[in-house]
Amino acid sequence: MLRRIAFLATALAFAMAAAAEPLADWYAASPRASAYLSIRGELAELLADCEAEGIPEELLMARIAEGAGKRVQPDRLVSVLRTDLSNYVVVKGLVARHYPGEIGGGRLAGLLERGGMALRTGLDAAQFGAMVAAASVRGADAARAMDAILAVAAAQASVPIDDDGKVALAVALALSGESPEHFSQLSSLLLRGRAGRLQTRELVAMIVGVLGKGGGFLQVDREITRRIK
Amino acid sequence: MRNHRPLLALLLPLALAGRLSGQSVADASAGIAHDAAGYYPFASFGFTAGLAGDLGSDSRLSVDLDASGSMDLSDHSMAGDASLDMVLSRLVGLSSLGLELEAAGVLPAAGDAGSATFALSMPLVLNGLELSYDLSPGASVDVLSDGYLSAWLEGGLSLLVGDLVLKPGLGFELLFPWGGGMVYVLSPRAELSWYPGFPLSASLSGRIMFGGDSASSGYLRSSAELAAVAAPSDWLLITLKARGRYADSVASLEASLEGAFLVAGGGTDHEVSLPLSLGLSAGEGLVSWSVGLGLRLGF
Repeated sequence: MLRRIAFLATALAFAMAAAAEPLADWYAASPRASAYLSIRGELAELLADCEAEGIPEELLMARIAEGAGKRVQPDRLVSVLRTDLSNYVVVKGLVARHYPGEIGGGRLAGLLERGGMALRTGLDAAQFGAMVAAASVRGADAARAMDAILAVAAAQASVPIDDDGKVALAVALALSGESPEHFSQLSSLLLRGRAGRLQTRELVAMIVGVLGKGGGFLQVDREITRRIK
Repeated sequence: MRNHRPLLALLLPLALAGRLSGQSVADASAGIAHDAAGYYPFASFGFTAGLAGDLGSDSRLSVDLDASGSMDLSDHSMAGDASLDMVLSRLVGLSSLGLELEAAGVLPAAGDAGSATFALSMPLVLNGLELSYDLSPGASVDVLSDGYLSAWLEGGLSLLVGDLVLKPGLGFELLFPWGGGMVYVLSPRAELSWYPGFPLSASLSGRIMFGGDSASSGYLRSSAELAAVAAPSDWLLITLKARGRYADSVASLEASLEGAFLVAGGGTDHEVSLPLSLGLSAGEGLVSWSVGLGLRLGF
């Protein structure tokens, strides 16, 4: 038992030492870093936890830099980073379950980043998990699935969409021939339809139908234009 | 054997209707308008229904019904219009060939004789993910006494460039008024839709109509429309619409700004919202303002 505790303590010390490196670099280089000296220890612990969970620490470092850029209060930053870390852990768990080939791969950081962003926009973990599972079962690529989920998460922040609609949209987008660069246009397309007095469920069915037949946003735009003319 | 054709003909629309599904929106509002002569209370209503369904693996039928009307409560004068649009389309790969039947009517009002038109067209759309083309030959008839018979050919393309969809097009129409003669109209048009990827969308379109007939010199008419919508939150939808027209040396502008507050049923089959609108109408030296509050139901 003592040997095990010693091993864990050593591992944690190594992790904190490794985590301290990018943090030290940031404190040395960033002009805003001095405002966050009071939470340096907590940031180092968070980064150590990050490494222990197998989450790429650059994700948390990017969030630290982003928070400092926005002049977020130190206590608030620590709280936000804790939520971020727990979100990344959730996303990693889902990736491990539904896309096991991505664990340890070069795309993992990108998947976690986009998944974390989707959860930050207000998707709850159960909805997120249902979308990842449905996309995986239908054979969608992991990166496209995560881009699609992020697009749906952003859209539902301005246009209420029911749970089934979110899953259907995410799967249809992930399996479509549309470029992921255009996925973010989903929220604008939904809004244009809503302004034309089309109901959200009707719009979702229309978009899923068009994408399912091999079409893309150009065809969705054409269909919405026809309906609201 | 008894002839069941009349019965089948009667049942066919019901059978088709059973395969369609969709949603409807009804709204009613009341408000007050103001111009140089005074204040006028008004009431207005609108109804929109959209039904669609697959007929087999590659055919689709969609039916859209739209009706709106308004009444000036001070003198009980009414204005209104309605349209029914049915499209039967067959998908071949990404492209589609359709048959579209449209019926539209406008109630007669002061300065407007009204209309009752029926149109039949065959839209052909060749689709790609970045570029698509459309071509639509058609014919229409306005059956009222000062109506017309017309035939047209319209074509255009849609091009996806980043966040923008560019839609240039050209139409040519020959029109034969019941009163005699022939009118030709050449109408280039362009539309630009912007989907920026945050909760905003805007579209701008313009059309110019060059025309002429055997009896008089040519004419030039133009119109432009702007529609923009933004959602600062998931319970508020702000819509700006503006339409400008120029015809016979007279310019006119109609614009409205609406804030629709979602109060119940967001994302479900039964949405309830309260639209608050501000309107502007200007033309021929007259300017009027209006403000209205209503109730909108989605079901």
